[in-house]
Amino acid sequence: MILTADRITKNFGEKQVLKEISLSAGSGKAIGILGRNGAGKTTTIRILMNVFPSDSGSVLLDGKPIDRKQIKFGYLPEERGLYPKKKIIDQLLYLAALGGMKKKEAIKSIDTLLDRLEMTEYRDKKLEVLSKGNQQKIQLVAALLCDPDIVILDEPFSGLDPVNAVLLKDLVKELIEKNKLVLFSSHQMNYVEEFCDEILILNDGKVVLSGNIKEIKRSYDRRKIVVSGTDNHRIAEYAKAGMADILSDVKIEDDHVLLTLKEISMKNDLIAKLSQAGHDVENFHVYEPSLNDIFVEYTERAI
Amino acid sequence: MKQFFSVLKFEYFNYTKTKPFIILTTAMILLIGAVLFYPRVFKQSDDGNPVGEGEKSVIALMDLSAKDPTKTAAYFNAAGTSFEFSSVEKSIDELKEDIKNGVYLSGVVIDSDLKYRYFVNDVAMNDQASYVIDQLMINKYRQQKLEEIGASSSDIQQILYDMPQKEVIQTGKNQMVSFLYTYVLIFALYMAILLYGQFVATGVAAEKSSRAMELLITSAKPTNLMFGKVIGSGLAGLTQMGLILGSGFVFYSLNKPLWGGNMFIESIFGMPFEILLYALLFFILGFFVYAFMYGALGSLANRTEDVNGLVMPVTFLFIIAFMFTMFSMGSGDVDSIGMKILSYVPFTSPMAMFARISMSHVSPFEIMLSVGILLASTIGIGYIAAGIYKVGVLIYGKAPKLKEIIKVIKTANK
Repeated sequence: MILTADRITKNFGEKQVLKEISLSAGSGKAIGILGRNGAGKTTTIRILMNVFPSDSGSVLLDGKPIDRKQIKFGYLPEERGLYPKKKIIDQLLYLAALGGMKKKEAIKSIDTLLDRLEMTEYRDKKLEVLSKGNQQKIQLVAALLCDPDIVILDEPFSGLDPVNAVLLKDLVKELIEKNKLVLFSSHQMNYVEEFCDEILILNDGKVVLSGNIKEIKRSYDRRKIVVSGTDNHRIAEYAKAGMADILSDVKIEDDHVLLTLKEISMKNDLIAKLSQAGHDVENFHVYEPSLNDIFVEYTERAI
Repeated sequence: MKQFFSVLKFEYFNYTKTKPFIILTTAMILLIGAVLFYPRVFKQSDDGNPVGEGEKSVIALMDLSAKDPTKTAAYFNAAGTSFEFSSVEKSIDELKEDIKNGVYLSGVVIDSDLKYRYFVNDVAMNDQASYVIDQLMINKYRQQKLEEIGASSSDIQQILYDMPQKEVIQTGKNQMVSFLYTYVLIFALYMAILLYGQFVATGVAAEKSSRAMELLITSAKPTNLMFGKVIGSGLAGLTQMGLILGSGFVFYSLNKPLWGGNMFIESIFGMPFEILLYALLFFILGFFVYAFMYGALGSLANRTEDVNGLVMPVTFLFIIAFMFTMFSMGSGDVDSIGMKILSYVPFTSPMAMFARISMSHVSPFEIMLSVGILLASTIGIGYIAAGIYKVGVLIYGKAPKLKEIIKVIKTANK
């Protein structure tokens, strides 16, 4: 199953919110949709779910328009909330009924999920008596109760304590293993890196970066080498004095030295020289930017 | 369709299972029950306390014109009125004192055949006793005179007690009677539409402000959500009205004999069945017109606190329609030019036309025209409201301008 959006645009009044957004996501994988507040993530998600149509462009699943009777969506919105004064089981059953589920299977599915998220004791309680984190877990049950084919999780980890975060992490991994198509939006880059192979960075309604995270990282300058040892200062001084022939730049950072090679092929020379000089090297790797760095780089301009 | 019914069911029970609904409905039923069972309870307590009744209803009688005053008392008592006449021989001052102290309800001093003094402590608004005494005096006088000219006692009975037999053949409507039930029904219409219409607005706004809408809008069609909510709320309103009016009718039929002759109660519960059907028709159509507007406005609110301000113009319109209809009914002229115009305007016709049908003569063509306009407007307003709702529920912050809404409706309903 491949979900594709092709050059979708959307205007709200005078404001152009989406400018030719394209994306492609396959089942059994998670794609991270990243962007600052107001970049157009929620609008993109709503168009994918057909809450409203795009002004132009198309959304297709395996080349065909999405048949909502066949394909089920599970959605955890960023802005969360259900009926505070209603019993949890009642509102979950209502949402299940809206999704076209029969009552029996809905109860079964809800009970399984409540059990999975350690929430069974709250089944007949009113939502308002639950803590924020527990309300969020109920919201997650609401998103997953119809056994969706496409799962959209918008900031699923916000407000969860570490124990609940692990619970959710396992659940998301399970979804991916079950061959669901997962769209994941978050500002917590560590979670994005953990689940997503592909990312899409939106800025001001445009896709500014998309692709495989590993490949994106590899595309950065690979002449930068991170070295750290027992004495980073000695390593830096030695590099400045004795390796000017292979290095173009030396920088001392918090806990490592960042060396820039003149040529990529000189990596082995560097290793050899460091060991010849008797430095105690504990860490030696090609510098790769973190997802956070990449995100900031692509989104700090504009908006 | 299945989705629509899911929303409908959820919304219906959302209203009817709440404490305020149950408490209010029960309280209304109890109140109506208390009023309608009043004569039964009242009568029973009287029967259980005959001493009190005896003391209260005794009227002292002093016939100064007769040789044997006890005969007069016997004659009065034989007429079988609700009073007991007791012949006394006292001075006027003593009599006054006794009445003051409550020994007698009142006192009658007969000076001559057609002249009497009536002593009473407080003159009640409709003092039945003095009316009864008038009648007894006249009868006694006439009987005496007839006896003097030698009429037989059977003739006398006939002359005195034969009553004209009357049969009322009504060619128009009795506005005195129709006014009461029209008033009750218009008031019920007003309360139900205002209450349940505003419930729709606050319900939509609450779903939006709690962000439940975020999930609802992705799992259900907005038209299903809105129509389900409006119809669910309308049915809840009908349920409440039905329970209250229905229990009223049941209570009345249980106590009907005890209410004999009470025009107020009789007119309300004697309302023609077709008027009840018209009330139902105008409630349904009027409710939809307003509930759709309320739903659309509710979708523009960010918080439930914003709702009141947003729905104010609509509520105002409705109150004006209600006041105008009520004033016209009060003035007795429900067929004024103003009422005629308002009975075709969709926002006012549910009440104006209903009042005219109920209290005056409206040709079937006029009714059909009014209902037709109302029905078409309901559909049109529903269509526009669904468009506004679709957009409104997703917009937070400033409410969109009318121009933007129109634009969106055009594109959304393509």
